[in-house]
Amino acid sequence: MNRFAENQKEATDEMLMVRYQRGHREAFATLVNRYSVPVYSVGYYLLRSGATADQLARETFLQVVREAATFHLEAQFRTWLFGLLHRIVNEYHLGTPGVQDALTNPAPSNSAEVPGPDSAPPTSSRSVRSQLLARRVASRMSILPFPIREVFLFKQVGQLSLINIAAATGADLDTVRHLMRIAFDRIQDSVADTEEYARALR
Amino acid sequence: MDCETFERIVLDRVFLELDELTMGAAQRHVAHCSRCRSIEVGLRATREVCRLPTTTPTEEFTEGVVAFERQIRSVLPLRQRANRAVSVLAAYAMRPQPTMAALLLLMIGASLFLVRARPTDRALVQITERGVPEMDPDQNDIRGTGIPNSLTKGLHDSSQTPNPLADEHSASPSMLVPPCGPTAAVACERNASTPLPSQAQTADTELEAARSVRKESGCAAAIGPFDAVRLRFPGSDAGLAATWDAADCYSKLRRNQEARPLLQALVTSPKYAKRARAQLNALSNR
Repeated sequence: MNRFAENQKEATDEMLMVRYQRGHREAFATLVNRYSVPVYSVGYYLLRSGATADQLARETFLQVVREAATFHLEAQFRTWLFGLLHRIVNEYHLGTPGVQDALTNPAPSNSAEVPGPDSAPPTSSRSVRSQLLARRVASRMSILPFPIREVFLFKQVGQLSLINIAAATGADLDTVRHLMRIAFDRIQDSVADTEEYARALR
Repeated sequence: MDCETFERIVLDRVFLELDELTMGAAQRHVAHCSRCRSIEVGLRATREVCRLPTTTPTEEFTEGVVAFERQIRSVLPLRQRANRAVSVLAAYAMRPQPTMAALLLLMIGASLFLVRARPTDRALVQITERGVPEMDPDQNDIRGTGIPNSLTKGLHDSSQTPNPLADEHSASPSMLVPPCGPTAAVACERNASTPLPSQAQTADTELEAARSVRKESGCAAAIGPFDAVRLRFPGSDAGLAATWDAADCYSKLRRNQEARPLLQALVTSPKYAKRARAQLNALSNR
C-alpha cells in the first residue's frame, strides 16, 4: 500500500472531505467505504426496505457530492452526513417528487439483491437468544413513530451524540432527549422479560 | 441536583456525554435517590440489550456511488467549478514554495521587459549622406562606388588597393544603389522610397573624395579613386577633372606610359586641351 493510501486510511473524516473538496476522488471513495454501512443500516431500519435503503444511501452520498463545497472544516462530517440523510428522508416522507422518484425507482445496477440485516448462522444457544432479542428490538422499534425511530437510529446505529443528533435533525437538545427517552422506555418494555436484560441489570 | 434535572440529563449520563461537573452532581444525586438510580440502571440495561445488527449494502454499492459521483462532477455548474478551482489555487497559494517561485518568475519577467538594449548597440548604425542606415560601415560600400568607407575616412594605408569590382561597374544610375542582401534589407527599402541624388552631384562627391584621398595619402593611393570616377562618369565635368587628376598623379609618379593616353584624351576637351598639350610636351622632354 502506498503512502497516499495509508494517509487516506489514517485521515479523519473532515480531512478526507477537505481533500475531496480539492479534487481528490480517492478521499470520497474512502468516505463512502467508511460510512456506507451506518448510512445504509439507518436507511434500512427507517424505511423498512432494502431496495429503498440502497437508494437512500446512494442519494445521501450523491448529496455529499453536490453539497461538498458547503462543508466547512470546523463541522463534524458525521453530523453533516446524517443531516443530509435526515433531509432526504424528510423530503421523501413529505412527498417531494424528485426524492420520491429517486427512492422509489431504484437504479437497475445493484439493487436486485439487497441484503437485510447481516445474520450469521447461530452457533450456540446464546447467539440464538441474541438474535431473537435483536429481532424483538427491531420489531418494537419499527412501530415507533418516525421521529422517535430516527433519533434512536441516529444514536444506536449512526453513533451520533445527542447534541449532534440535535444539530443533524435541526431539533433542540431537550426534544432529542425526550424522543430518545420515549424510544428507550418502549423498547425497555418489550425486552424487560428477557434473560439478557436481567443480566444487564446486574 | 434534583430529580427533575436528573431525569432531563439521565440519557446524557448513560451515554457518557456529560461534562465532569454535571456528571459529579448526577453521581451525588443517585447516591441518595433510589428512584433515579433505578431509572438509570434500567436505561443502562436497555442500552446494553438493544444493539441493532448493522446491514451491509451490496458489493457494487461503493463503485456505483463513485461512478455516479464522476457523472455528477462532469456536469458541475460553472460556479461550483470556479469555487473548486479557487479552492485548489488557494491551497497552493498557502504554501510558501509556489508563492516564492511565482515571485521569482515575476521578477525575471519584469527584468526582461524593463531592461533595454545598451546605447552602444544603437551607435553601430550609421546614417550615410543618402539617409540610409548602414549596419557595417567598414564592410559596406556606402556610396556604391566600389570605394571602401575606410578610404573616405582617410584610414587606409598606401598599400591598400582600390576595389577591383569598381572597374566592372557601369556608369548607370542603377549601379549607385548598393546590392540588396539579407543584411541590407532595411537599406534597400529606404533606397526604394528615397530619391537618388543626381549623377553630377554623385560624380562631384566622388571626385572630392578621391581628391581628399590624394591630399591625405598621396597620389599612389588616389590613382584608383580617380580612375574609378573617370571610368564611371566619362565626358562629364567630374570625369574630365578626374582624368586630369589621374594623369597628373601618373606623371608625378613617373608612370608616363599611363599618363600619356589620359592627356591625349583630354586634348579634345576645350577646357583641358591647352593644359594637356603642355603636359604632353613636358613628358616628351623628360
